[in-house]
Amino acid sequence: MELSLNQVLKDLFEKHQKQNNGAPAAYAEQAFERFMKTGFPDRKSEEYKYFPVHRHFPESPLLAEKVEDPGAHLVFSPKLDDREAIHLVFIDGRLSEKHSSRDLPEAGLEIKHLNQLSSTELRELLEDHLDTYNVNNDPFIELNSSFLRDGIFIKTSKKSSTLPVYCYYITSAEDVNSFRNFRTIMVLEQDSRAELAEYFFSEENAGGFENFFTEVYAGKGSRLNLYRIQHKRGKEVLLNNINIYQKENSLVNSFTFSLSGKMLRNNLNFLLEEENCESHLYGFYFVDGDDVIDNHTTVDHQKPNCFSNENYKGILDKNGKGIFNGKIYVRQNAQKTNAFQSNKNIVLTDSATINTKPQLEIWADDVKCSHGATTGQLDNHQLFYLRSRGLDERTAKALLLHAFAFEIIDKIELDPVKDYLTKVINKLLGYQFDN
Amino acid sequence: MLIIKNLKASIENNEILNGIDLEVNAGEVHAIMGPNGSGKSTLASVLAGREEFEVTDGTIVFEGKDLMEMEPEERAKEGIFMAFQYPVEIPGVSTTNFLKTALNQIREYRGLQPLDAVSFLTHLREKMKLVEMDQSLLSRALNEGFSGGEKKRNEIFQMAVLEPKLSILDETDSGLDIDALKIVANGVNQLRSKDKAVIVVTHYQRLLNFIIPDFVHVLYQGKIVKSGTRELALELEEKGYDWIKEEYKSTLV
Repeated sequence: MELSLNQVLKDLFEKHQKQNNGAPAAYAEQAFERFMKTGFPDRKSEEYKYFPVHRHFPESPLLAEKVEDPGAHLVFSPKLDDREAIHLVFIDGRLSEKHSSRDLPEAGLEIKHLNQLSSTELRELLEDHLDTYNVNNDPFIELNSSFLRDGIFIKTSKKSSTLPVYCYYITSAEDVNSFRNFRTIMVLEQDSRAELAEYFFSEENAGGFENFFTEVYAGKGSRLNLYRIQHKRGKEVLLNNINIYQKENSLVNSFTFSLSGKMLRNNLNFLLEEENCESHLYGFYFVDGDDVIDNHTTVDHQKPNCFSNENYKGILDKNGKGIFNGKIYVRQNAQKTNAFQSNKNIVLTDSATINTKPQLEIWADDVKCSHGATTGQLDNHQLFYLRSRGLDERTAKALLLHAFAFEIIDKIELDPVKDYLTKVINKLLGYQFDN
Repeated sequence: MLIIKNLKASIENNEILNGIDLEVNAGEVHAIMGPNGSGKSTLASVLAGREEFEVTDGTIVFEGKDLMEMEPEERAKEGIFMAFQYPVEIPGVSTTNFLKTALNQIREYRGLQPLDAVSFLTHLREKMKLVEMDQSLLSRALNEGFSGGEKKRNEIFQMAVLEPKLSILDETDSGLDIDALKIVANGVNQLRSKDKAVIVVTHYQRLLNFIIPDFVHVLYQGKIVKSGTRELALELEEKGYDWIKEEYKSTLV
């Protein structure tokens, strides 16, 4: 099985190279060679131990064909924000011009659709901006580069406005063999600011395998709020790698809300490449039904005087399986590093599970690092207290779950995203009170 | 209002209440006193419906209804309120939001219209004055980071807001300085009326200087071994509990 998956991908890659309608041949070739060194994760892969991705990969994968506008026939308005903002809608890994509004010259952002670039332009862009560092040798990053056919490039400058950018990744494909690779690249030039919200959504019939990769270059002194909302209803697998490269004095706040998804995996990698970087990683996951939601995070402290703080919380219901893995690397010369990590979970049923693992590897000697993980049920004393005041059990539980999740929601600075998440999460938790 | 007969309760097979008989009528204030470990707080917890305690025998009837059949929230809706000895901190839950939900669920149960935001706030402000509660405590998370005194005051404040028929104060005086004690007692006294009753569980006589009880009961080894009026509390203050223990032992021989 494991061998044949590698073979399947090799055949697919050769076919893809012949068609030559994606990234430059040499770039893809090198990436695929790196992929073949690790191979497709099998049941022995430590990194994919609780996320059996090999059992969910298509037997005969099909790459997405080039289409005029994948959204032409769809009626869709998943707008999170009514105010003026940039909305980029991607359907099955292809930009839909019909549903997007990106022509806001006053925003001063540079937005390029990779699919519309000539091969020379694409090569230049990749050479300038894709110095991908695959910190954990994840095979899906290499597969994404190998099969790269489409993506979006967003660049901010000091002069550009801070209008939020919303990327909607909608899955409409139903074919289980559909294999979609998509790249989002955001470059923040020195001292620029940006808000980027990535929203992943599907309806019940959706299927296939998605391998998405978001890369963010946070230049010197830049600030970014990065939101990721995953609310999928289909059967598709989402494998999402996110690399964030931070330069001196930059600040990045990352929010990951995984609300539903049959098979959902995030590899969030913060690469602190220069001094005085600050990174916040907030996360909330709600794992219901038979969903499997896996959040792997890495904070790689490469240089001195950086600060990172991570707070992930999860609620596990029904047969849900949650996985959290938090790596913190403190490299030998990353002295005076401050790195904190916390992961708290509430398990609501006997059949729900959570596997949580902090993984700190520290080579420097003058650092402050701490981590903590808890897993438990709702606090009986708190529950009794609320009930003894007249709240029925269901309401009391919802109130406590709301309070648990709200610690994360409360950190969101972008109001439309905050309002949307408050509404959706309250609904998921059965919390129905006005304020 | 409340009739307890031969109540026996245990936790993890240890019998703590050993046959309690008690009758509380509307308008009365009963003090339950007794040495440490006599079962005072257990009695309060059993009345509020805490599930850790198993009632092995006896009956509790509240306004003609069997209390043992009721969930904690039903007891609250029927009009029972317990001020906790150790109020729980609940981060992320605002006091206002929680109390509005509680009050409206109780009102719904009693067939009353829910209070809208404006009338609820008016109601809240009125009750805040009663216990000299600071406005800022309301916007904070429930009991989170409150001092011991603030927590106890918040209990009495909740009691005032929810307007129960029977209030049980479980060692509300413990950890209070004299000023806070007076404020709390003053709040309770203002809530006294001819159709409401109060059970004050306390180890010391001190609180009873401010909340004057109609009856005083002494609990020892899970039983009410002596009942009397306010004078009994004063006698206990003066002589301690040893003579009660001796007297009880002699009855067993």
